[in-house]
Parts: sequence; structure tokens; C-alpha cells
Amino acid sequence: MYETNDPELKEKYKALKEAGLLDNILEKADVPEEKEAAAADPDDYVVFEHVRKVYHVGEVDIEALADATFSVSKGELAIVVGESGAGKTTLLNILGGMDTLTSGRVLLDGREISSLNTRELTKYRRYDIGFVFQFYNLVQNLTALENVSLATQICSDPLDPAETLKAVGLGDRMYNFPGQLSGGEQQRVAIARALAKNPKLLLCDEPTGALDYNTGKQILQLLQDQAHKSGATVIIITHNKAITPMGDRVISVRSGRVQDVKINPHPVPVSEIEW
Amino acid sequence: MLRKSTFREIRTSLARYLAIFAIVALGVGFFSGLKDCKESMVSTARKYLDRTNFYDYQILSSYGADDDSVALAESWDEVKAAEGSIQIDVMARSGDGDSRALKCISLPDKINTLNVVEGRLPEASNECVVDSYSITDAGFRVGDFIEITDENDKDKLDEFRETRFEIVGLVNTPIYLDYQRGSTDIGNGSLDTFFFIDKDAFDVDYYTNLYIKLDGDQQALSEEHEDYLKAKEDSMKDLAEAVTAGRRETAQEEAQKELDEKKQEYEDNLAKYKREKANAENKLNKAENKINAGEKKIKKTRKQLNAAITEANAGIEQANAAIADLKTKKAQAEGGIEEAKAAKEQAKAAHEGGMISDDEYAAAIAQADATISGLEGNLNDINNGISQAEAGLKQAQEGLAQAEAGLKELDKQKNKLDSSEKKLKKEERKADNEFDKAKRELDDAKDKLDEAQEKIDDMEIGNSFALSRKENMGYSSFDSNSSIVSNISKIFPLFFFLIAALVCMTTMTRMVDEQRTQIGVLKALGYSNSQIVGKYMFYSGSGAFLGAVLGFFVGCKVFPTVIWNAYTMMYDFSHSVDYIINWKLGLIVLAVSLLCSMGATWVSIAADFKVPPAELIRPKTPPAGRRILLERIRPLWNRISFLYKVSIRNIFRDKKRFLMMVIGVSGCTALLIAGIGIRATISKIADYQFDEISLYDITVMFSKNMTEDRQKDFMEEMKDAGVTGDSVRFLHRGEVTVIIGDKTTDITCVATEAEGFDQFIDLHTGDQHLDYPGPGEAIIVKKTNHDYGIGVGDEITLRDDYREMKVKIVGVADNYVYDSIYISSDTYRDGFGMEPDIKAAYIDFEEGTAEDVIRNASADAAGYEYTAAAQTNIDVRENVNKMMKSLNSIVYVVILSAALLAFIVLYNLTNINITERIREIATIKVLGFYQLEVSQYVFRENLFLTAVAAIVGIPMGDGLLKFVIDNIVLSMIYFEPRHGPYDIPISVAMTFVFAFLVNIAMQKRLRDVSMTESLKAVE
Repeated sequence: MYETNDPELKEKYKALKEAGLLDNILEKADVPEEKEAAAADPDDYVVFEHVRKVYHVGEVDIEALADATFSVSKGELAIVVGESGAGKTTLLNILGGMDTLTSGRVLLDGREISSLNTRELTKYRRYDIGFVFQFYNLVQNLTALENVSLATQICSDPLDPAETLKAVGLGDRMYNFPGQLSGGEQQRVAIARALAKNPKLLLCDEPTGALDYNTGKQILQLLQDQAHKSGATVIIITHNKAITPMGDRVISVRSGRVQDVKINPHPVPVSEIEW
Repeated sequence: MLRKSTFREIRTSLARYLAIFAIVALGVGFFSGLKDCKESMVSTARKYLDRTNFYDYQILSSYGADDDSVALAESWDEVKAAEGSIQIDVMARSGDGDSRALKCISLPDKINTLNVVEGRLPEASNECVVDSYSITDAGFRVGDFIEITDENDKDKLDEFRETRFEIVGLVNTPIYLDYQRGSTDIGNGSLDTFFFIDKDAFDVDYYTNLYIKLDGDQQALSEEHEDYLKAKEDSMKDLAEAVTAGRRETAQEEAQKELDEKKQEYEDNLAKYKREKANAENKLNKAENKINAGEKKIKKTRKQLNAAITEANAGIEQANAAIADLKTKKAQAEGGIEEAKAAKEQAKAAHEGGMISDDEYAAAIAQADATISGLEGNLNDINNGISQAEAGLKQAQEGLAQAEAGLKELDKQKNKLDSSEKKLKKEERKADNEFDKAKRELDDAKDKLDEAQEKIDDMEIGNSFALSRKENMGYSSFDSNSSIVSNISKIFPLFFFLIAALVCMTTMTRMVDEQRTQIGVLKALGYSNSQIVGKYMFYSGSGAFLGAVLGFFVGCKVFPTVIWNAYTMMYDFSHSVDYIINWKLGLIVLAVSLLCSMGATWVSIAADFKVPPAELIRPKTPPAGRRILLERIRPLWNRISFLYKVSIRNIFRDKKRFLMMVIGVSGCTALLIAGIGIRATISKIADYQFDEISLYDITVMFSKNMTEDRQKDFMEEMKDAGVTGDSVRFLHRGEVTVIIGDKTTDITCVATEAEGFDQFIDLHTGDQHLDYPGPGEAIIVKKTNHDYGIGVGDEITLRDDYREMKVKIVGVADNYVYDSIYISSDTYRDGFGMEPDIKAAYIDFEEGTAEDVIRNASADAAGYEYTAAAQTNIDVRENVNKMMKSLNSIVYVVILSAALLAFIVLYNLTNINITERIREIATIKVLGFYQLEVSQYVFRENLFLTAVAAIVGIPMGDGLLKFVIDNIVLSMIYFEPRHGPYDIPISVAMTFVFAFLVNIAMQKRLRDVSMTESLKAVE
């Protein structure tokens, strides 16, 4: 049974039920609940509030994140930049729903994800997050199309995998296996896989880390286009400071703290960046 | 440094290391454990047999044995020791318990000595020790009493000096190695248990059994010993005959002595008879003589008297006549006188008258006077004569009276004599009768003596048997059982070992693949190939070594122990099995384990040495995805849901893993099928035989050819047991030599008439009924078919002594216990040119007849005078069943091991699978797959592979079962591989259960896969 504590919703629910419309709505109610909470401030689409993460390694406590606070607006391309060990991976893990935090709060689209349990976190990853890995992480014995389908299979409102692949420029390589694709093409497949889920947030972990310069640039362009042309919210995590000009917002991380958040009103197209 | 890295490697990949260790341990354990089983069992039995000095040969003679026999045996060639034993079956009971048939045995001294389990050996003749195994009821415990009951025959009771024995101990004896106590001709026909008493408690002067221990020092239960026993068989038979001959002579002498005594007695009696008879006759004769003499005298006297009477009468007559005569003469004389007087007167007158002269007168007077005087003298005389005659008359009359009185007296005497004669006659008759009777008795005695003498003279040669220990039921059943164990251990462990090697190989291949980069780095750092190889060799080698060592020692300990435990149900003599360490086997196993693991390592690693280190350092290009065949069948492929497609493609992509998995898991299925199949095949064999084939209930073997009269007698005897005409089949049953090409074998030949035989033995092949063979034809059984490769249409030669005949095989009948060949009586008659002797009978009871009834009938049949042996199929069935039940333990061991194997294989492969795909798994987790979906994503493949493997495993299991069963060669028993109706489904289901269990066990491992793995660089 559909249940909520929101009195307003309860009333709506009652009214709908009386109107006999409930069934219709309930069918659609399969849609993740966070949609109803979509009343958040678009500027605070992604919010990190004093996030702290401590790992216990034996007797030693390692503070991966000491106090991270930042926010990202909807439709922005944000770049989290930092040296190795600055805590950006931890940040990514927490934001990606792959890890929990010790204290603080994390919100996505107004929903607090820092309080979710394992199952809810899985759902969160399933429906809200598109992930692009440094090493693509494609399933080797699935074709490009199938790799995308692998993700869309489990989504509630996916894009068409073939269309998505076409959109990332791989319309003619859909039936190739990862082994038959170049690194850049593989990363495009990975991006397509993330996009096709129609996620609230596209998280990219060093997306160019395993790619050569030119290919890397193409990939970054693709990601920038996703934000600027398709309105997706994209967060790229990188150690490469050179690419920061392409972002709408640059969040510098150092020693587990957000050192600096820079808003970039005029992001540079990727093609103009050189490193 | 490298060594440090190696140890660290072991620590970090402990699961993998343990997998190698475990699979090698299991493989080696199973292999060496089962291989070791027979040795352990045999060694245990051997020790026991040696300790108790188990006999080599047992000499049985219909004349029994005595101390002379023992002495003879001891002097025999190659006989180390001989001992006589008294064994008598009696009905006995303890306390208020039921009386049972017990074997009472004299305490052995040096052969077949007893193993005291509890208490002590008897020290007095009223003490006994009992079987420790078969005492299950209260009342056969130490401290109780065994009492030989009155229901035994008097003769039997006479054989005991004591009839009440206190149980002072529990023992076991090598004569009864297993639980079978054998049959007897008392009670219900089967022995319950045995007890040992002192020789002095018996009152017999012979031994029933003579046990022989030979010089040969070959190990018991070894082939060498068997050969040795065989080689000694003739010598032992000779000894048996010599013993019998000796005993016969003694018996003859004893009997003769006894007979001679009786003969003497007879002679004495005869003499006495004669003497007495003569005496009696004498006496009678005397009496008769006396009577006769009396009679004679009477006769004579009578004659005399009669003569006297006659004489007297004549005298009287004469006297009367004389008197009359005299009276006449007197008258005449008186007349003369008168005349003379007249004349004188006349003369006077005349004279006077004178007529006449005086002279003339005177002369006339003178003349007249003279006449008168003369006449007067005459008259005197006459008067004298009369008186004399009268006196004579009187005398004669007196004499007559006297004689008549005498006659009367005589008559009296005669009467007396007559009566005494009558008496005598009577006495004589009586004496005659008595003597006749005595005579007859004596004659009878004489006949009997003659007969006895004849018997002694023609005393039977007697039967002699020399039975080797192989004919001891317990010993031979042990031999068979240990052979089955060793036969089963032939193929199963090998299979196990192969799978272990395979697992080892995959694991190491996988490891080397994973560590490609590290190998490259090491190479780049300048480590030599051999150093690098050494690391991996050490890794796999040490795992395998430890596994092999542990497996070997544990296997050698656990398997025999487990199997022995099952066998203690049958064998009581030792509760623990010998822990045999076969170092040779151990070394071989260790070498093979090391070869497999390190060989696999070498093969995997060698490929990497060919590539330059630089390339090794770079991640290995992942194998390109490929379409599988199934995808080309579009209509089918399109129907499959996406995630299944992923699984299917995954399965077929990695052929090595596929093969490994299929081989490993199908091996497990096959082992299960075979294991369960062995059970179905073996455990039900008695049911198959006695429910489907041998429908009769009792086999009776006779010592004499059963002529029609004897058959009638037998039937008469069996009447009370409820056995009627058509439930008994008398038939010929004897060994014939079957000659097949250049091979020969002895098989029991059954010759009978076709009609009604189905009631006793149902000859069939599968569902196909077989008609009883006609003239010149024969039906053989599957075992013969299997062992000698002869079948329908083949011609074989049967030989009976020196006669031979050829028969054509027209059928191969299903048969599991015993082997036989069936021909018709006509075939026998025509082929061998003689009548088949009828020395066997099958007795069939209605289905569902109570066991007691059958047992009683069997005991009755055993009681018939010409019965050599009677056996119920109930007993055979029980024996076979019990033997087969023990085998179950092996099957359970196999099943358990198969399960373990399946588990290890599946676990290892799944583990490898997960390790290999950890990145993929992390990725799909990041993609938001639920835990269940992740599991399904991985385990779907497992289950699919399990399904494929299970299907492959079915024919493999079938083949394995056939192979194993084929290898179990037992004399008398034929196994036909059979699957129970649910064996295959159960095996497959069990395989799936194992797969599920592994999957469940692996869940945690999957859950623990960190998503951050997905972020890591590709190694």
C-alpha cells in the first residue's frame, strides 16, 4: 500500500482515491519517491554539508573527508579537482551512493541521501546516478548496445539505448564488442550507458584518465555538451587542473576539505583548452 | 624478498590456496583412503587370524577323528599343527529363556584360539564361554547359566558329562569370522550362537572336526596363500582319506571286539542251551525208561499171572478130572471088591455049594481074597490119590485166587504207570517248547551277529572332506567383501583424482593470468624465469603437498575406519581397524599431486615467458566478446530476456571455465549416480534374485539318488510340514565343467523337465520369458555370459567326468546369486548317456507363507535320512542382504565425497568466476543492481552450467556405474548395473542442491565485493 507521512499528500491521495483515479496514479507511482520532493532549490541541486568521512584502518583513523561543504546547481557541469589523496574519490563514492559518510549531510535534488540504507542507496544508484568510470568498465562480452541495455534494463524511465549510442556518435558501432572499440569509443559507450539511464546526476571519475589527449578532449566535449546542450547535471572528478575552465563550477578539494568553490560564468569550450 | 612475496601471496589469496589444498586433500584422501581400505581391512583380519591361529584346512570324516588322527595329521607333510575339536549342536537355554539351537564346541588349545572379550576362559568343566557377537538377549551374559535341555535326544544328552554351564566369559572365534552362525538339523534349522566348554565336559571319545595348520607362512587373505592352499588341496584330501581309513579301521576293530564279545556270549548261551536240553532229555528218558520197565514188568507179571491162572485152572481141571477118574476107579475098585466078595461068596457058595473044590475054593477064595486085598490096596491108593488130587485142587484154587489178586494189583500198578507216563509226555512237550523258543532266540542272535559281522566286514569307506579356510563362511565372506571394497576403490578415486588435478590446474591458470603484471614486473626487475616460476611452483606445490599429506593421512585413517565401522555389523572380531600406511602409495600420490599442481602451474606460466616483460606489465587485452552460435538462431535468441543473454554469452565465452565446470560438476553428478546406482544394484540383489527368479523357498540336497520310492518316503516325511506333491521338484543338480573355447569353468548344472519348472525358477531375460531348453539346448545365466562372453546361438561343451556333450545356448537368463546352466533331463540322458541322478529338490511354498513354516519344513527336510543339507532361501537372502547392507557404507562415503567434491569444484569455480569478474560485479553494483540481481547475474551462469553438467553427468554416471559394477567380480554373485527409479533425478537434484548451497555460501562474498573495485585501474 502506498504510504506517506505528508499530510498534503495524504489529502491528495484521499481525493484521488475517491475520484477513482488512484489506480492510474499508482501505476505510475512506481516512479521513485524522490520525484515528489522535487521542489528543491535548483541552485542547491547537489548539496554537501559538512561532510566528514573517517576510515578505520586497524587502530588508525584516517580522515578522508574532514569537512566538505559545497553545492551544485541543476544543469551545471561541475568539476571536482584535487591531488591524489585529497579526498575526491571519497567524495565521489559518497555522492555516488557507494559509500556512507561519518557525519554531515548530502542531498540530491532535495533528497537526503546521506540517511539512506543499503537498499535505498542501491535504488538511488539505479535511478538517479549515471556513472562514468576511468576505465570504462564495460562488460567485455556484451556489445556496445548491450552494455547500454544492461543499464537501461533496470531503469524506470530509460532512454532508448540505440538512440543514446547514436547521440554519442557510435551509431555504426552499436554491435561491436568493447574489445573491438578504441578507448575513446569505449568511454563513449560508457557515457551512453550512463546517459541512457536518464539519471539526475552524471558522475564521471577521471573520464579521460585512460585516454590519450585528443580522445580525452572529445570525451570531455561530449560531457560538456550533455550539461550545456541537454541540461544534464554533470560532475567530473579529476586531478587535472587544466580542464577546470570547461566547468561551470570548480570545486577544489585538498586534505579532505573543500578549499575553494569557483563559479565560472563563462565556461570555455573544451576544444579551446589545452594541457 | 620473493619468498616474502610468496608467503604474503598465500595469505592474501588464502581462499585460492585453500582450494588447491582442499581439492588435493580430498582427491588424495579419497584415492588413498579407499585404496587403503582393503589393505587395512585385510591387515586387521590378518592380525586376528594370526593371533588366533586360524586353521588352514579342516578335515571332516564321516567316522570322525581321534587322537590317532591328530597324530597322523601332525606327522603329515607340511602340517605344522593339528587339533581335534568336538562340535555338537544342542538345544539349550538360559534361565527361563526359550531354548535355542546352539553349537557346543570344545575349547581349542592351539588352533582357532579364542579371543576373550569379557570375563575369562573356562577353568572347570561346568563353565563355558559364549559368542560375544550373537548374544543380544539377556540371559547370555557372564554369570548366567546355559542349560542343555531335555528335549535333546537321549543319545545326544549322553554325549555330555555336564549339562549346566556357568558363563564365565564372552569370546569370539575365527571360525565364525562374520555374523553367520550357519545351519543345523535341530530346532528351526539355524544356529543361534555357540558356546565353548572344556573337552572333559563331553562324554565322547572322538572329535567331530580336525583342524590343520600348515607350514606355509604366506599372509592370510593373500593370493599367495590362496595358491598355497590350493597346492595343498590334494595332500589334504589324502590326509582326510587316511584319517577316515584309520578311523574306519579303529571303528571296525572296536565293533569287531564288541561283536566278538557278543559272539562269545552267544556261544556260551548256545552251549548252555545245549547242555540244559541234554539234561532235560536225559531226565525224561530215564523217567520213560522206568515207565517202560514197569510196563514191561507188569506185562510179564500179567503174563505170569495169566499163565498161573491158566495153570491153576488147568490144575483144577486136572485135579477135578483126576478126582473124577479116581472116583471112577474107586468105584471100579469097590465094584471089583464087591465082585471079588461076590465071587468069594459065589465061590463059598460054590465051595459050599461045593461045586468047586476046596482047593478050587480055597483057590477061588484065595484068588478072591487076593483080588480083594489087591483092590483094597488100589482103593487105598485111589483114596490117597483123591485126597491128593483134592489137595492139588485146593492148591490150584488157591493159586488161582492169588493170581487173580495179583492181576488186580497189576492193573492198579498199570494205571499208576499210565498217569505218570502222561505226565512225562506233558513235561516233555513243555520242555520241547521251551527249548524251541530258546533255540529260536539263539538263532536270531546268530543271525544278528552274522549281520553285524557282515556290517563290520563291509563297513563303508566313509566320506572324507578336506575343506580349506576358504570354505569357511566368515572367511570367504570377508574375502569377498574386502574385494568389493578394493574393486570399488579402483575407479572412483581415480576419477576424483582427475577432478582434483583439473581444479588445481584451473586455479593456477587463473592465478598466473591474474598476476601477469606482477610476473612482468618481476621479469622487468631482472628476476630469472626460474625464480619467478619457483614462486608459483612453491605456491601450488606447497598447497598440493600439504593437501596431499593431510589427505593421505586423514584418508588412510578415516576411510578404513568408516568402512570398518559399517563392517563391524558383520564382523565382530575387531572394533578398530588397522591404520595402515602404504608409503609407496603415499609417495606415488604425492608425486602425482605435485605433478598435477606444479605441472599446471608450469603450463600456465610458460606461456607468459614467451612475451616480453613490457607487454606483461600492460594489462592483458581482454578477450574480445564474440557472438555465440545461439545468437545466429535469431528467433530463439530474440526471445531470451536480456540478462539471460548476458549469462549465456558469458558461459560460452570462456571455454576453459565452461569445460572445467562441466567436467567437475558432471563428475560430481556421475559420482552420485554411480554411488546411488551401486547401492541400488548391490543392495537389492537378493530381492531381485528371490522375488523375480528363484521362487522356491528351500533347497534340499540328498546324499543318495532319490529313486521313486525314496521320493515317496521323503514326501511322506514332509507331509506334516505341509509340503505336498506339486510343491516339490526333485531334480538333478550337479557340477559340470563347461568348456568354452580353451577356457573351462565349473558350473552347477540343473537337469529337469520343462513342465511346471516356472513355479520354482522363473527363467527370463528382462521382461522376456524364456522357455525351458529343449533337446540339445541349454540356458546359461548372465554371469557366465558376462565372464566368458558366450551368448545365444553359441555352442558349448559340457563335461561330466569323462563324458562330454555339446549344447547350444538358447537363452541367457537373468540371475544374480549362484551360477547355473539349465538343460532338460533328455539332453542329459542323451548327451551323457546315463540317467541324471536326482540328488536335489526345490520346495516351493505359496507366496506369503510365514517364515516359521518354511524354516520348520527345512528342519524337517534336514531330518530325512538321506538329506545332506537343506537350506532356506530366507537365510541365503538374509546373508546376501546383510553383506550388501555393509556395502552401503561405501556408497555413503562415495556420495558424501561426491558432495564434497561438487562443493569444492563449484566453490572454487565460482570463486574464480567472481575474482575474475570482480570489476564487472562492482560495476553492475554501481549501476544499481540489487543484491539479488547481482547474485542472479553471477549465479545464473552457475546454475546453467550445473544443468549442462548434470545432463552430461547422467551418461557418465551410467558408464561409471557399469564400469564399477563390471569390476566387482565375486564368485557366485553377478551384479547387473541398475538404477533405481529415482536415482538419476535424485542425483541431478542433489547436484543442484550443492550448486545452490555453494551459491548461498558465495552470497556473502558477492555482497562483500566493494564497489570501489570498479574505480581501480585494470591490472
